[in-house]
Amino acid sequence: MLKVENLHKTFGEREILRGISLCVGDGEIAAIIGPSGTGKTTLLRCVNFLEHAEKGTVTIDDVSVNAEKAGRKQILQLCRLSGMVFQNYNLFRNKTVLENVTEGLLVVKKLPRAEAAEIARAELEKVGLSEFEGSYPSQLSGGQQQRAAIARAIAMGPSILLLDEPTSALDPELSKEVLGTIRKVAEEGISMLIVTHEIDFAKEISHRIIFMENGVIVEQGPPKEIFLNPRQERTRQFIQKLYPADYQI
Amino acid sequence: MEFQFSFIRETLPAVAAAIPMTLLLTLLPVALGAVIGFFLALLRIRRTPVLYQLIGLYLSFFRSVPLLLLLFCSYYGIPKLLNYALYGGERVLGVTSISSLWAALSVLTLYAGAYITELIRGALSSVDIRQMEAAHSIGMTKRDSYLRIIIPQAIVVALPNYFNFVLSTLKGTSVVFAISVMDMMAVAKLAAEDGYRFIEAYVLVGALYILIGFAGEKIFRGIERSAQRHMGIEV
Ligand SMILES: Nc1ncnc2c1ncn2[C@@H]1O[C@H](COP(=O)(O)OP(=O)(O)OP(=O)(O)O)[C@@H](O)[C@H]1O
Ligand SMILES: [Mg+2]
Repeated sequence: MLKVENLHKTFGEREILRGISLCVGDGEIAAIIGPSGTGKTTLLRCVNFLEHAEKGTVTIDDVSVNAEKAGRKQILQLCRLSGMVFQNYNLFRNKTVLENVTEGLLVVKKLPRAEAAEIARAELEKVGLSEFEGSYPSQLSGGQQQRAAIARAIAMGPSILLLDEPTSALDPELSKEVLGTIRKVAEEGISMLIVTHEIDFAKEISHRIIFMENGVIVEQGPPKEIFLNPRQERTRQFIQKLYPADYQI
Repeated sequence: MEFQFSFIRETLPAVAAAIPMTLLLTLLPVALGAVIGFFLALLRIRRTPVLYQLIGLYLSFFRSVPLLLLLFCSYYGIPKLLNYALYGGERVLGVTSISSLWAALSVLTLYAGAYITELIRGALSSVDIRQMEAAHSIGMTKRDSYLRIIIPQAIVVALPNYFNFVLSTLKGTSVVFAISVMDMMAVAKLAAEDGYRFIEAYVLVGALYILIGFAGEKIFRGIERSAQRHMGIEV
């Protein structure tokens, strides 16, 4: 379970996150949508302290970190409970696909080599990369790299997976393949918080849509409600712009 | 005077015997320089206020003063400096009070350290730092991320430049004859002056530099290739 309370983040003079609170339950999949520059990426990055929020609390399971007095140890503990999938994959380039997945198991969880490899191979099978375990990132397509990155994240057994536009760097064909992988991972019941511009995918996969604008959550609810019957005018405008004119709601 | 091959043949053993000295003057400084370079590059990246400027001073000094001048400074200058500092200018310590080899090795080491620092700093900053974020996201410490992810990649990037620097240091060592360290060049020069056979002596020592350089290049290429293979870069 992820709980974010009253998160505030400023870059320079600009307040990017203006008191964000949200909750993602066990096994729940929540998708964040909203205009560009709204702070969606910043929100995800603040959850695992890639960015340090000025104010607010992030709780995953039994680890609760207050941004105002977060220590390095606490932050690492929090990171171990969350997995992150980046827009640009960010695989370790000096390591093979298998080594990318075992890295955290060996260094962070300190598992024996054989056990780490066993876990990693199972995850690679899940994302359909078994035959590429010996390849280096530079030898893979973007879609394969992203699937390897997903395997790396879920191999750590996180309580929640954070995904920041996992397919926006990919062309439609490869994007489909990665979305398929995410769908498959979702079926295993892992919680997810996805930032995405793939509205149809968000609609299909998530239990809840969170619409964010200008650093605040404007509205959230089940996909049907948000897409067919939004309560807020701003949500309605955003949704309408997403679809061609002949698809008015 | 016509070219005398017999002179080359007679001088070869003496010059060849100085090969280990030339190798020592090359390899020890570039090895120690790599250690210095790593430390300073990592320190400089942190931009710790005073330390950053001090390292910067060291780098620009050793990178802008000619090697020959650095050698003179340490060999003749340091005893003089010590005389002023410790004995009020009285000439207590002579030039020979620091061994010329010691002076050459320390100057070459500091010189190499300065160049290699810059070289490694460039290599480190060429590594995509977003991999650090990925490492953070799976709970790795900064230290582990540097040691296991960033530094190995920086090494692969730095190797070609580093090996180039080794080869240029190999040639650079030939100025140590100026403070009478007996490297290949110094031995060849002495032999030349003995027999008034300058061309022959220089052809000989030049050929040896080429041979050593060539062998070095072969070995370095092999190392570069295998390092790149370990990063999945097609060669
Ligand atoms: N490191 C930073 N320094 C300064 N400003 C930043 C930084 N990171 C983000 N911003 C600013 O914060 C705002 C929100 O950025 P963010 O990346 O969170 O938006 P987003 O909702 O993810 O947008 P997009 O949909 O385009 O990815 C932007 O205006 C951006 O310029
Ligand atoms: Mg973004």
